[in-house]
Amino acid sequence: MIRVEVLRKNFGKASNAVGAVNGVSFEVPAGSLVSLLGPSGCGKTTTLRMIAGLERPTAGRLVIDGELAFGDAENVFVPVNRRAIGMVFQSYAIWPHMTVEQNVGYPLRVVRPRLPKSEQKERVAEALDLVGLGAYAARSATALSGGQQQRVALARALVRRPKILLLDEPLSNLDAELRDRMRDEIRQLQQQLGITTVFVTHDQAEALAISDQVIVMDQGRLVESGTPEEVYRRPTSHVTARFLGLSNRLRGEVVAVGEGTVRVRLGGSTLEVATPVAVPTGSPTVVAIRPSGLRIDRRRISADSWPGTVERGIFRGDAWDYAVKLGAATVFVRSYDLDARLQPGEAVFVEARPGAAILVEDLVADESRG
Amino acid sequence: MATLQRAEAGTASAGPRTLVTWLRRRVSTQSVVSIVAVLVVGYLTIVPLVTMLYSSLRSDFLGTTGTWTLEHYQRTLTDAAFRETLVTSLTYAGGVALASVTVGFALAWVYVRTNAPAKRFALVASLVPLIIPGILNTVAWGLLLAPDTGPVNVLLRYLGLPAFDLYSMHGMILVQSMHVAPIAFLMGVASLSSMDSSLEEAAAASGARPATVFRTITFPLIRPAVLGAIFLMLVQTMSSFEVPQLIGSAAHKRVFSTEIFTSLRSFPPDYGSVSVIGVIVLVIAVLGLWAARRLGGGVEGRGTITGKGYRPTLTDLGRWRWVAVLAIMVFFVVTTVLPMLILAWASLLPSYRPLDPAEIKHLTWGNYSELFNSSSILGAMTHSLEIALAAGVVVTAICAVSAYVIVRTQLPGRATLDAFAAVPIAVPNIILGVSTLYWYLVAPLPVRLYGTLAILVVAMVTHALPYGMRYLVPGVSQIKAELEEASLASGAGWARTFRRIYLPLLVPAITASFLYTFIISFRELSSAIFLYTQKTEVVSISVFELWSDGQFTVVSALGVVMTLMACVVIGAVNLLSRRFGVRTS
Repeated sequence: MIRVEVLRKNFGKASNAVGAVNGVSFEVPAGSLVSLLGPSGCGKTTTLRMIAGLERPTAGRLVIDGELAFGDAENVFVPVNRRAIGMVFQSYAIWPHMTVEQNVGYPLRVVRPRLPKSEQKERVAEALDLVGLGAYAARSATALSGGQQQRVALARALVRRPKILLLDEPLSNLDAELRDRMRDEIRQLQQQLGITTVFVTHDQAEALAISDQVIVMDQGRLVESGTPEEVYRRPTSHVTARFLGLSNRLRGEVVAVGEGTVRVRLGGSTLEVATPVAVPTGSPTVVAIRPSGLRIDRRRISADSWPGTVERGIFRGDAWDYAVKLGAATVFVRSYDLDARLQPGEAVFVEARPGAAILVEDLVADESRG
Repeated sequence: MATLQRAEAGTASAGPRTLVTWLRRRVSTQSVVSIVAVLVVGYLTIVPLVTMLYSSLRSDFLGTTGTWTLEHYQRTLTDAAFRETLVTSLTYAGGVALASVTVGFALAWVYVRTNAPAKRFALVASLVPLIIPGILNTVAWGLLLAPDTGPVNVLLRYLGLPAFDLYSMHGMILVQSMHVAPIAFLMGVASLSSMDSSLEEAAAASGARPATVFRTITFPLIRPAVLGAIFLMLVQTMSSFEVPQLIGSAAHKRVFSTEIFTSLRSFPPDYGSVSVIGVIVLVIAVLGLWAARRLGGGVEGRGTITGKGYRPTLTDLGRWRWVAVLAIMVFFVVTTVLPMLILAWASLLPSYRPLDPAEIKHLTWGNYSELFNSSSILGAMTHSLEIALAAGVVVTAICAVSAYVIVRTQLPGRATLDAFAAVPIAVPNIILGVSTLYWYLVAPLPVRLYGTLAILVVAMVTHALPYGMRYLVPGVSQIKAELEEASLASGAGWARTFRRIYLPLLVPAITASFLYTFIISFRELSSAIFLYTQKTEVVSISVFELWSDGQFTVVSALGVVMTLMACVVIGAVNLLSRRFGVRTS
């Protein structure tokens, strides 16, 4: 288990510098995989590096596996080489002057007490088998492809059987197909070994697919956390909403308040919308919805449909994205009906799928302020 | 690009069938330029060396009656005095290489990889000594460490410490190391900043202690660069003339460069044994280069492995930060401040006296007015400036074109060009001077270059070629091929593309190449000493002669003026390039 308590890192004088961390707290339960998700410069990598011990936090507390790794009050800082971790770097950091076997065996050679040679050899073979590189032991590490280097890095991180695995954007240098495969393999390995893992990424699909829990960060702060499904379906922060594709924003007015939901008037119709916060009747608000949360048709679908005009269509392969003018606003609608090709200028009707629209807490707050 | 060339050919054939259009269709500007580049670089680097080899095998080099012989080799190699010179030379060069690379790489590590404060100062402090010519450095330390009156020795005795004996092997190594350490520093900065620091972090995260990380990861990865630097220092030191002549002679330490100098100054000059020494030095240098490459697993090959998306992370030195800053300050004081102070002080004295506050009332500008009234010194300064400017321009032009040919084209000559341009790296400057002299003594050319400034320019250009390439090859590599292709696709020809796209983007590399060539040519002594005549004396020769005549105060004034001139030129070029260059970062 990892416990991060109000961890802070300032670079130089400016506390809002890129990569700075402004008091982040979270917990990674034993055996689970937690992703740190956010745009570049949001502080996710710095947070990971503080957990690793590569960066000394400015303030806060960090407990790894029941042991205090950093505490400013206690004046404790365990250096990186004394923390029982395995880490995979974005660049893989494969040592070019060693073979695959030497790379993977390195942690066993430098850590004391040292295992007997024969057992070291066994562990290296085991780690290489784990990542499917058993046949490559004697190869020069630089002769491998990107995906294979990635596996070497993973084997090297696991060979000590650490309690904690730290992954810093390990998939970002791979091509798309390989990325998906490696992602699934990492998840499988993590569950098979039951290793507590922190995974840093800027790719939302990756975070959703691999994690037990997703932590979204922005500008050095934790903006929200939850299971992949929670953060995807009910994001509470506009940062998450934007990051997770809730790109349509519609202004409306709350007309009725229910249990965890409100009814919002948007244009000529009203819509049932889930809300994480209490909003009073009559207040102006903003509703967020994904293009796939909207339906489009030439005929009026129900009484709650909005009439509009198709501006243009963008072909996505498995779907069409239509830009539709609804009054003054333009929304994007995704249609998987490839046969019903709509033309620019066509009159259409758009409506929200049930449960697809949400109120995002800080957008609502912004609206009531403005 | 293939389509473009076809289109071009089509237009040409539509015009009248003159010789020019025929040539245009058959031969591209690009290939003409490359052939010229190969010929020029080959002529500059290979011909003089072959001449030297030839003369080492001829009984009478200049005469018409000579025969082939191995006599020079036999005589030299069986000479006990020569063997002693060999040992002294290697001790001296080896000592300097180890000392300067240790200091240079340590400072480079502090500069690149730690959070030591005052980094900007560290950079300036490490580079300023480059401006001070080696001959001045030697002269200044001759004054600072003079056995009885030198202020440093006075201070040492005052502190109850034994005086430092400048006129010894230690003295030679000390003075020369301080002079070349900045170059080692630059090489260290280059190799350390190109190393992905996550390679070290991965080792630390694997459980390795900092010392283990250094031993198992950092050192093996920078070893090629370290060996490369050691080798370069060896070659530079073997060709250094000022320290062995001004300090070594008094200590009866004879090295190759002083040996060659003495043999050529005697009458009649012994061309045969000089070229044997030259060939031997060359063999040692080539063996050294080969060893450095072998031990390093390719000097250039593995040293610069970088992962994608890395950023250099800084080692926290904690309280040691201040020790690091102190070390840099000491380096700066010793290599720059003390020599410049003693020169400035001596330049204001009517006649040389040891450092003494009582002398302040006697201070005078007399030496400077003497300097500016001496037509021979003014002439030497003009010559040096002309040579340095010409060499800077020529080297940069040759290197810009050659770098382009090597990096960007698939022309068959590019490997040869690359190899030719690298040759001078392994040729000690003094050997270059001698072999250039030999070639132009016998060259069947319509114009006589011996006794002109041109022969000095030719030698400086040859010497500086590999360094110019060092700036321009990476410079060209950084410019993406797409930028050139976009220009071609916009309808520009190759010559115009080179002028309009490459040159502006290359301004930083061009500036660096020009400045480096200018600085080393302006202060060069080791090859100039064999190539100058009464009419073409250069400023480093003036310093050498004034010092040999015991005119310490005038030579100091000249030193101050030389340093100021170098500073003005560097400042001016920097300003110009900032104005016209493209900001790359």
